[in-house]
Amino acid sequence: MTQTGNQADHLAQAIAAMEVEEAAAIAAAVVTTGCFTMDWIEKGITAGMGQASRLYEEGEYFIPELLVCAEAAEAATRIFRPLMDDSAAAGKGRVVIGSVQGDTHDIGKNIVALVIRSAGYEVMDLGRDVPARAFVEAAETFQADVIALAALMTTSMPHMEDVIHLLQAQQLREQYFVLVGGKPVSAAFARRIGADGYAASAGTAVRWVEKVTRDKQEISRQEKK
Amino acid sequence: MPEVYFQQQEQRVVVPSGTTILAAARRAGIIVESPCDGIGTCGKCMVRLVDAAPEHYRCEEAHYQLSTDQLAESMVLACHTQVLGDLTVLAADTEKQNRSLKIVSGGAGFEYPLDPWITKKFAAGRTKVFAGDQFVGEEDGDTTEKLYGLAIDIGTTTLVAALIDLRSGKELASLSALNPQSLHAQDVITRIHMASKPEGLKLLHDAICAAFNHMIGELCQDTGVAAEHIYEVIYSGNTTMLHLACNVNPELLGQFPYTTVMKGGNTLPAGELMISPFGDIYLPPIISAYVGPDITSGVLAGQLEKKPGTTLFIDIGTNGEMILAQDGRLAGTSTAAGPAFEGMNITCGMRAGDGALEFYQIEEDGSTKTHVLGDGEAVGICGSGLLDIIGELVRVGVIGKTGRLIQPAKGKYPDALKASMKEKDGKPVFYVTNNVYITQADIRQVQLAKGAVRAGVEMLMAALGVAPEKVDCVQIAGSFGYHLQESSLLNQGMLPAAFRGKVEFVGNTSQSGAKAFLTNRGTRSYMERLVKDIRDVELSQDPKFQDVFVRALGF
Repeated sequence: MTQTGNQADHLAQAIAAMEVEEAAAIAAAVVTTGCFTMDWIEKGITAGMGQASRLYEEGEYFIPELLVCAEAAEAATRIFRPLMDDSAAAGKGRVVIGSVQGDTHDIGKNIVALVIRSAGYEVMDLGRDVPARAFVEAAETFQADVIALAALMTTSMPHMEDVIHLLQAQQLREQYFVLVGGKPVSAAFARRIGADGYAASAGTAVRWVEKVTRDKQEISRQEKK
Repeated sequence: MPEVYFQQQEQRVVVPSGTTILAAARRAGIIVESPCDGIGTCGKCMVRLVDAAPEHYRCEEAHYQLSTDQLAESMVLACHTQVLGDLTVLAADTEKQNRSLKIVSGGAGFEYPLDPWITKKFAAGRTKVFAGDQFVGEEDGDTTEKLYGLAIDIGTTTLVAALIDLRSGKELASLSALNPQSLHAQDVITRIHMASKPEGLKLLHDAICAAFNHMIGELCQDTGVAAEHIYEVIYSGNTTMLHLACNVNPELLGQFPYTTVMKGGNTLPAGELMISPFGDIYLPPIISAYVGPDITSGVLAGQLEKKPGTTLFIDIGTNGEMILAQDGRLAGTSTAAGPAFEGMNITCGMRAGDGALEFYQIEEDGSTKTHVLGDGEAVGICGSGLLDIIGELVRVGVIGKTGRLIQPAKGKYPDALKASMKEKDGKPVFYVTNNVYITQADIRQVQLAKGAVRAGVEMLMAALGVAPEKVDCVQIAGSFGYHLQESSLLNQGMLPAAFRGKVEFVGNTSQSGAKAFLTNRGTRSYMERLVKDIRDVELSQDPKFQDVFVRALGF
């Protein structure tokens, strides 16, 4: 492991251990000593949140713990942000997220947005009770890679399909990866409405986003060649 | 087309290939309980396939994951398994268990003069019937002594019907039953979703009308009262239950901004109910989409607006509906607690029927005291048992502050309990009896549910500027609420510690309020006016809710 890698691991551990002040202190030290590289984002912050979401999935952590981890990640990111080069940060991808029309429940969606953001993605959170049109317009202006849809109530789930229909009607379906999630949603439902993916937790959501954006960049690189 | 044979019920049904086992059962008229209406989250529609050829069925991936043991025993989810060829299915006959449901029918009430809406006058050989002084019909001979009404509490899970003599105000008989709608869709949201389609609404409406008529028949048989002498029925229940009972599409209740189609505070012809041909149904006024007539009845029964000081009234169920009354000022709200308190989404969860563990206590030496409904051994945990278990495990330290099960090596709890901490499918579980246990995921479900109730309480107190110490009295209503202990609620932080010694269980006040509506006409216009002054505190729009909720998740 490189020197940065080793130190970044401390940051990752501080984040996963819910140590907000420690994470901020490590980040501040890195900035003052002038040894910041983009590696710190990937191996420190993203890795730390990865550990945290894994602990959540294993039942070790619950929502409050995961939120404190995200707070620690955010504290470190805030300190790094002035030094981050824009292209590198934007390079990972952009995600538009929201609770679909008719649904005002958004705590789960907020957590997913936080975790994806802390993994280094640019996230535009449209809030709750978001109509299909707003998702599509935001995805267009934001040049998103992924549209992530949340629903907590069985009664609002049909509005997820509205977004997909609208994308199809505007010939935009191929432009975006559509991810769905929320308590009543299932993989079978995702397939039925023609979504690209389903995530049962914040951790699986971020891993799915990483996979599809990586594949997409790989393809576009090959096309350029 | 393939044939499905339901062994236990000895019934066969032929269905098109690709039909789910659940749909096949419904077509055959067999009830396979499907609390989540087949979306694959609850796992309760699990059935066993008997010697099934692998090409005769296909299991779709569902949210609910079967354990390796269950898969080995050929268990599948009826809702996510398609029939491709002939199958023999073993589906539990749940009827017996549901017949033994423990339901609280009585609730706290108040004194009021007898002055029913329905009255009779005999003159010239005929008896005239009046509803609110308006002539509605006539009967041969003198029937003035035969004047009855029915107070029905339509709970999401249970129904309670009481036959009342309107001349004396006395309850002649009372009967309870499972709400048959819960077999098709357990929680309120799932039911709204199902009833948003015409065929779903018809199924749910027909089911509940049939249940009402069945109860009317039984009550009449038990008491010798003729059904045609029942002139009025009160429907008390949550807003969704009222819509469904009146055959009104509840779609708007399930979508922000959650508006109601009905307003309540009116009478309807009794229509499909088998009572007097000029009978009517009174619907108590609705407070909001999620604070329903059951709460209006509760306010009436508890006379909350007249109580000096501050009273908090909570109906704990799938939704935690609550009213805070401070010297005549009333505010109400509702939080989505989810079905955990009904024993749903809990691995060993069940309704409060035979075999349900309903009481759990840990002694100082680590030995445990339990109470199981019926005669046999515990086969599952009902809502009150679940809250007892979690409250006690938090108190002794088996469950830590964050909700994590504490491993015996790290725990400071009695040795006797350490032996109960075992592993199942590679995950820690805590055995409360020899075969009933609690998993980490179960604890998380309870945290979400109790966190929602606590957050609702906190937000409501904040809206009226009331500190927890200033609350003089806390009334817990609902048939579920009656089996609870104050300590269980406080130990797990569903209610603030400042409420210690102030909690009282008032029983089914939806039912006792309904009786008051039936036997005293003045209560109707009074409550119709009062409801307009109850402030509706809408939580989902408040940005502070998330923080309050997250803080309320820990123990």
